[in-house]
Amino acid sequence: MSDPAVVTASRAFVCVRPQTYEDAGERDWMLDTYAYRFDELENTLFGLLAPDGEETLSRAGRSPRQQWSSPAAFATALERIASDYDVRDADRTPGLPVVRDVRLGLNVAACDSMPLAIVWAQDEDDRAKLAERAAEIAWSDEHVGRWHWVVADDAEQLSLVDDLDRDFEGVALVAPEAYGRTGALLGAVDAGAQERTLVARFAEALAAFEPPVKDHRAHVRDGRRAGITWDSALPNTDGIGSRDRDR
Amino acid sequence: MTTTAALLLGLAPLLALDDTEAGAEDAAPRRIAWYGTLEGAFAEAEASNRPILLMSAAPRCSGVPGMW
Repeated sequence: MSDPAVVTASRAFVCVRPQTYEDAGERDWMLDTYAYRFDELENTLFGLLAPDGEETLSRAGRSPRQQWSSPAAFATALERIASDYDVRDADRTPGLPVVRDVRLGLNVAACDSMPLAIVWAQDEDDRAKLAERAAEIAWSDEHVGRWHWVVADDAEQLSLVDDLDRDFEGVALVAPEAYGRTGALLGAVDAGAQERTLVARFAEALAAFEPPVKDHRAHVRDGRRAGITWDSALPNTDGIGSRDRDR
Repeated sequence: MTTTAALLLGLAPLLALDDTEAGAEDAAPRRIAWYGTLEGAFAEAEASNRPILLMSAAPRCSGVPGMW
């Protein structure tokens, strides 16, 4: 998924990573939509859908590799599929692509070795306006695909960010700890900051962020030794499908 | 020879600077921009008429977070 041709082709899609094992509604939707696979939700699930979220445009599988022999072939397929749809209001800035909350956002950002931008304001209207301003940054050429995003809906979530004032309102720019348990502040933009300040702080934070290079085996081994675990809202049912139960 | 060697030494920092600038750009590679909820993605797909690319995965490996 990180192949440059695939990334470029993905811009013509709305790309979504659902809240796997974190939300019962999303789990049920995936099971209903891909009912011809197992009875329980698998850890990884890939699919392409029409804008209505109902018509499937590809076979479902664990990953694109099961259907396309190479990233180039996958990118070509994405381009062909996207060409069937006329984009509505192409000049509109898409909505901010957010993860549900700071706790999950830190974990996802850690998984991707990417920084996390957290939007927070006490007043709901102020929060919505700040999220709109953040969306302009999120989809700009300089920052698209380089940040994960959260709009926090309570101040307590920001306690996971080190060195952030408790009464802060604005956008906190954060480097996730290796296991996503906390975040280190890269920068912060007050809610009332001017556009040029917002742009400058994001650029500075992105330049300051050093993506960690993780070794898969060492990360899991060291995490297990330290007793670091992730408690998901729903049980991991990967491999516990009807086929497996019959064995 | 001495002059040539001095010129080469003088040019070396400039060559390294080009590599450094390229490195700074690559330090934050561009990735797919993911919506983290179906609700957000469906709303955007309806508004834009863009098709949907879905990739579901748990943000943990063997129970350990920070790794898909």
